[in-house]
Amino acid sequence: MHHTDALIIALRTVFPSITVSPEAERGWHAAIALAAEQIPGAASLLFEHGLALSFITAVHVRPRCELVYHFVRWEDAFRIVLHLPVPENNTVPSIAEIYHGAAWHEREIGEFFGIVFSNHPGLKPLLLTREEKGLCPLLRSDSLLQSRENVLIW
Amino acid sequence: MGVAVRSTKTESGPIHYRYFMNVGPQHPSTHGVLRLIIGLYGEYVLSIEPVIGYGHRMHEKMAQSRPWQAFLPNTARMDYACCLPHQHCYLSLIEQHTGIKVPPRAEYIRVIAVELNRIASHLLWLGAFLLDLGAFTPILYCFDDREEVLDILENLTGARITHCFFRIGGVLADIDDHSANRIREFMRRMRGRFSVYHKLVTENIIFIKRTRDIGIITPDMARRYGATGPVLRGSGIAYDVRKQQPYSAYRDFSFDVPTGSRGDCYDRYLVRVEEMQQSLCIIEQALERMPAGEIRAPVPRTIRLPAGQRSFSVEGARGEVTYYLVADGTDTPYRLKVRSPCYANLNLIQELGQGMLFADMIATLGSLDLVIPEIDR
Amino acid sequence: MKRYIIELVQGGASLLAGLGVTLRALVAQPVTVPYPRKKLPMQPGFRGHPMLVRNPATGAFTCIACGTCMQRCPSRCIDITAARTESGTKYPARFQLDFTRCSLCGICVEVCPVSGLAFSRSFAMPHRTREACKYDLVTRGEEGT
Repeated sequence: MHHTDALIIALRTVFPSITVSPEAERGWHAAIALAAEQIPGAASLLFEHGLALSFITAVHVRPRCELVYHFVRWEDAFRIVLHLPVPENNTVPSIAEIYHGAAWHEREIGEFFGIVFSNHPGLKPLLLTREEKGLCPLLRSDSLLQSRENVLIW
Repeated sequence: MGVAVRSTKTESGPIHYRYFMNVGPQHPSTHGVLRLIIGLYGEYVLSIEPVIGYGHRMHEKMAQSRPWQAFLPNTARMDYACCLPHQHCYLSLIEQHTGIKVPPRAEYIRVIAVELNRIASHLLWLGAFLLDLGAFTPILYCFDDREEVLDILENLTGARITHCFFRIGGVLADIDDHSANRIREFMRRMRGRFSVYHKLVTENIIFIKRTRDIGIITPDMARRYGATGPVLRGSGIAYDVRKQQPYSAYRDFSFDVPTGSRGDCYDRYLVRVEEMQQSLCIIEQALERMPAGEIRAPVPRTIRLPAGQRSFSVEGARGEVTYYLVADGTDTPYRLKVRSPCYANLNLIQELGQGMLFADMIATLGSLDLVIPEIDR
Repeated sequence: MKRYIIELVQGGASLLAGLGVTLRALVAQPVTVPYPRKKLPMQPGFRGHPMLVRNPATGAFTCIACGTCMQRCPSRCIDITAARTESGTKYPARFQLDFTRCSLCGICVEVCPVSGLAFSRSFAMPHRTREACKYDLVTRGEEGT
C-alpha cells in the first residue's frame, strides 16, 4: 500500500487530525474531520491523488447537520471519509466543480436536509417535486435528535 | 459530430435552431420512469438533462422509522433486476456492526445466489439493450436462459424477482444435492449458449457498427462522476469490490475481472458477457468446495445496533452498492444511506451524450444498464 | 476499397451466421407454453402468502394468537383478533392478511413460535375490489385454499 502512504502523508500535512485504520474496521481506511471552507481544497487534493467520489450524504445531529463524504481509490479500494459539520449559516461550498458527480448528491442533500451549497451549478430539487420544496424529510424532530458525539463515533 | 455543435454557436453566444425533446417518463428506451429533456440540433444532441424521482419512495426515511429487520424487504425493491447484492450488503453491514459471525456454508450459499442473480440481471440487460438497438430476437434467447435462472432462484428463495432470501446470520434455505445438480445443469447449458450469443450479437456487423466507438467513457470522466461496475470496467479500470476488497466468501474463489480497452458501448457489452462467464466460474467453485455445516448462526431474538457508524460495500450487477449506517444504540437505524451505482452512472450521460446522434445516445443510455427505481430509491 | 470489400464480405457472413441461429430456433421445439391453456409447474420452493397451519391430530389451528407476526411484519399487514376457548387457550378468531400490502418476505412464518404459519402455493389471485384482497386466513384456511 505504498500509494496509500503518499496520499496519507499529503493529507496529514494539511489535516493533522486524520485518523488511519489500515484494517478498515468501520468500512473505511482513513477519516478526517474538517471545516466547511476546507472542503474544496480537500476534494481537489483527493482528486489529484486519483480518488473517485463514492457518495455524499448528511446526518441530522445536534447541534447541526453533519455532511459525510465518501471517496474511494480504484486500485486498492482505499476508502476515505470526510466529516464536515455544517456551519451556522447552513451553507457549505460545493465540490461539483471538482467532482461533477457531486452535483446530484448535493441537490439531494439540499432537498432532504435543507443545506445550501454555494457555487452550485443549479440547486433545484432532484428527487422531490417543486411543490415539496422545504419539506426536508430526513430532518429529525427534536425529541428524536441525538447529539453528534453519541452517534458519529469512529 | 463536432461540426454540428460548432456551426450552431454564433458570435453572440446563444445557440440557434435548438429545440427540446422530451424522452419519457414513459418511454421504452428509458427502462423505467426516467425523463430526459434533450436539447437537439437536427439529429445531434446538444444537452441532456435527466429528470428523476418519479418512483421515489424515500427508502432511507423508512429505514430510520422502523426496526432494522423491517427494512429487509425494502432492500429487494430498489434494484429489482439484481436485488440480492443489496440484501447481502445490508445484512453484512448489520452483522459486522453487531459482531454476528455467519457460518461459511451460508456465505457460500449467499455467493451462489448473488452470482445467479447477477447472471439473470445481465441477461435481462442484454436483451433490453439489443431491443433498444432495434434487434428484437435476441431478447427471446436471453429470456429463455433467464427463465432457467429464475426457476432455480424461485426454488431456492421462494420468489422470482423480489427475493427476500438472506437472513441475519445466514440464509433461509439450504442448497441440497437436487438444487446443486440443477445449478450444474444450468451451467452446462449456459456455457453452450455463449457461442449462440457470439454468433447472434458479438460478431454481428450491425451491432458492431451501432456500438463500436459510440459513447466512449474515459477513466477521467468515470472518476469525476463516480461511475462503477461494468460501466467503469469497460473503460479499462479493473475495479471490482469482490476483488479489491473481498467480502463474504469471495476470497476463496479465483476469478478474473474483465475489462475493456476503449470504453465504448461494445466494450461494456463484452465486459458483461465475460462477467457472466466469470460468475459461472465462481458458482462452480462454490458448489465444489461448499463446506458442510449450519446455514444460520444462532442469533439473539432482539438485536440492538450499537451506537456508531459503519459502511459496507458489495459489487452489484451495476456497480458498487454501499450502505452507510449511523446507529444510536436502539434497534432502529439513526440514518441509513443507500449508495446506488446507477445514480452515478446515469449522472454521467449529461456529459457523455453531448454531440452525439440521437440514436447513439439511446444506445449509450442502454449500455449503462440503468434500473430507475434504484436511482429514485 | 479493399478494406471495404473485406468488411462487406465479413459483415455479410456475420449476418448469415446470425440468421443460422434464428433458423435453427425456427425448427426447434417452442420454449414457451400457451399460458391459459397450459401452465408450467410451480417450483416446489415457491413461497406464496402465509396461511394458517392445522394440527394434524386435532384439526385445529396451531396458531396461539400471540401477535408476534403482527408485531414483526414490516408492512404491518397482519391483524389478529384473539379469542379464548373455554379451557383458556388463545386462538385466532380472525386473522386478517391485507394482501395489497404484503411483500411476501416470509418474516411472519419465520418468527412464529409454534410454527402456526406456512407458505401457501397460490399465486394468481386477482380481485375486483381492494376489500377482497383482505383475506381472513381463518376462513380462507377452512376453504382449503
